[in-house]
Amino acid sequence: MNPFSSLTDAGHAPSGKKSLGRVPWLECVFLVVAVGLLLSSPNSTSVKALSLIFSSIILEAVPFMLFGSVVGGLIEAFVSRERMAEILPRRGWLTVLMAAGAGLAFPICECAVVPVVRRLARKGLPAGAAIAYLLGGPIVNPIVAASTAMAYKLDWLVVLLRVGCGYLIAVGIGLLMNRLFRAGEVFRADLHDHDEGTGCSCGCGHDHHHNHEMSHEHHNHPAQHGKTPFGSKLIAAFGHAADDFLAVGHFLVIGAFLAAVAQTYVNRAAFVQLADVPVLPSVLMMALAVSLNLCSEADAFIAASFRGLVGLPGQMAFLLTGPMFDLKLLLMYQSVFRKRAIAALSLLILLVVFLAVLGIELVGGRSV
Amino acid sequence: MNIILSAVGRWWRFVFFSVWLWVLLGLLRGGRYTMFLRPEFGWVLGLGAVSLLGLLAASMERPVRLGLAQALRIVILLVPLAYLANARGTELNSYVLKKRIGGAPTLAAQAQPLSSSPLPPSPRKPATIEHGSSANAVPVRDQDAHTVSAPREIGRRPPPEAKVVTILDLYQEPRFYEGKRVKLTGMVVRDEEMCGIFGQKARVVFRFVINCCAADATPAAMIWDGDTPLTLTEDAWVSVEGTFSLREQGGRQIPVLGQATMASTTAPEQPYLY
Repeated sequence: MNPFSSLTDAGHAPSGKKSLGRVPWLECVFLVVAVGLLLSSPNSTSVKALSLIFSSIILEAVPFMLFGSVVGGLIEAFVSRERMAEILPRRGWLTVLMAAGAGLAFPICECAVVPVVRRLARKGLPAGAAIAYLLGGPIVNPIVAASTAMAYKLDWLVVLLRVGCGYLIAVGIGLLMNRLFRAGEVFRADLHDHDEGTGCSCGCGHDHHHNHEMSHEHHNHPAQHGKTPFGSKLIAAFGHAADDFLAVGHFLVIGAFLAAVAQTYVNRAAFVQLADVPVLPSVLMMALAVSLNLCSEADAFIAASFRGLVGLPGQMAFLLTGPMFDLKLLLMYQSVFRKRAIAALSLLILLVVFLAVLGIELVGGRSV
Repeated sequence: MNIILSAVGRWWRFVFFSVWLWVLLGLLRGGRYTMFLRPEFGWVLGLGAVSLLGLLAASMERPVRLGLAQALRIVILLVPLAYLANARGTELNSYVLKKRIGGAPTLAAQAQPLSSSPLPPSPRKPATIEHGSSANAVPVRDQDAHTVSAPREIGRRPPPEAKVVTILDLYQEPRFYEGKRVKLTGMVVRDEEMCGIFGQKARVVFRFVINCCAADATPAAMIWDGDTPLTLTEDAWVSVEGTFSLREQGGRQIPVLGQATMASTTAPEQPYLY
């Protein structure tokens, strides 16, 4: 038997008709550029700097992504859909409100939140609430509040603005997405398909898997849940984690590479030379946040370094945009959402953040 | 051949996670990760290593067949390791300084009023930095953390002893050090704009301050204004000693080390400031 199956997106049991699968243009272009750059001039000053910065981003992000995948795997193996339905409020808007602030109890960074949200979505978390947690979790949490306070020398106004605006933006976008899309139109169609490794998405932790030669028998879950050994569930959890990491990880790598290229080749001062033009600094700072891909625990220090060059509204634009939307996240969202939903989400994030920053500028002026 | 393909097809996950685990453990061993991350962030790599152990166990328990799409993703996930190998022995230098500080024309413009330094705050430290000092909230690992004396000349009043500091100390406590004789370590670069203002012998001495990793490194720079003949290459590590002052230039205050000397030195154990 040839162990290499035909090209499919997830490698699970093929349907009756043949499918060529999606042509991986993005992945192929990335490989050509990244490998070509490294092979053509590995010792040049710029490629050396790129190597150092790219490696730094990866070494900081990958462990958190692995951890997020493990958390998602534990949710998959130990939390059933029925239990999830019991936990969630019946009113949709209340779920969104809760989800946006869940980072206070379950702090998470933007790298880890994507695999966690994938699993929560499979467990039945509504799209609006999933998006609210996705956007709010990396901002509305005590660690980010503390790092922001440190960066701005205990200027609590800045902390309050960041956490408060972050919460409101997450809630607003979550509710808007609920309005704009029907159930089933937000998440990827294959999000609810069985995993490659463990084949089970019901939380039973059963260690059966989707092998075409084997029959699939498992559907007495309610009766069997209590009988599954803890060890089997734990192995299944790590199996799910491996699935998630391998499904999302390459997007992280591509996004981190793009960010490293921006950091290596783009002159940061060019972003702020137009600081005197109204509104433009905020737009430029948002673009900088998207391209730099910084961790939300550290970006406050970078934003603070622009004091004197860019006013508070511009700094807030940077602080609000980065944890919700950057090159890395844009690619990682492809593992969770449909393309139309990603486009709508991206536009909403940029628009709502811009409007929020505009409001700050109108109320407080452009002063530092 | 079929046996090999079959083995690869069954055990690819185990091999892949093993490679990443080996890399993370290698970086943790000997503290090699500090070229990329703050020393305190070793736990991040440890977290990744522990997670990978679980994924390894699951891979052994349940081998999964390899598809072409998966193979492509695996290759992408291995690209960072090639860049990691290429980054070996590299450090942030004047190329990154000019990208992040905006280059020569903006060095003066971006020397912000030091009373509102954007760099991470730390508790007020004593003038002399000692290893393991509890008053020092930021672990400074400059290799020469002690007070040294300037060379004496016969018949003349000896200059005051130089306090060993870092550029970060000067940024955070400029008024405290103003007028004082200090000694610090940094990298050196020639900047035409600064030479036009301070003379052809002027140099920029800089280091990078990081919060999490090298990606967020912020340059901290100052002007060295001395008479010592210079034969140093760009990005060389130097030990400089001089009188610290703030000079008004274009509405900004530029940190300057005047009456200064410069000598080549070895790179510190930790290249970044925290």
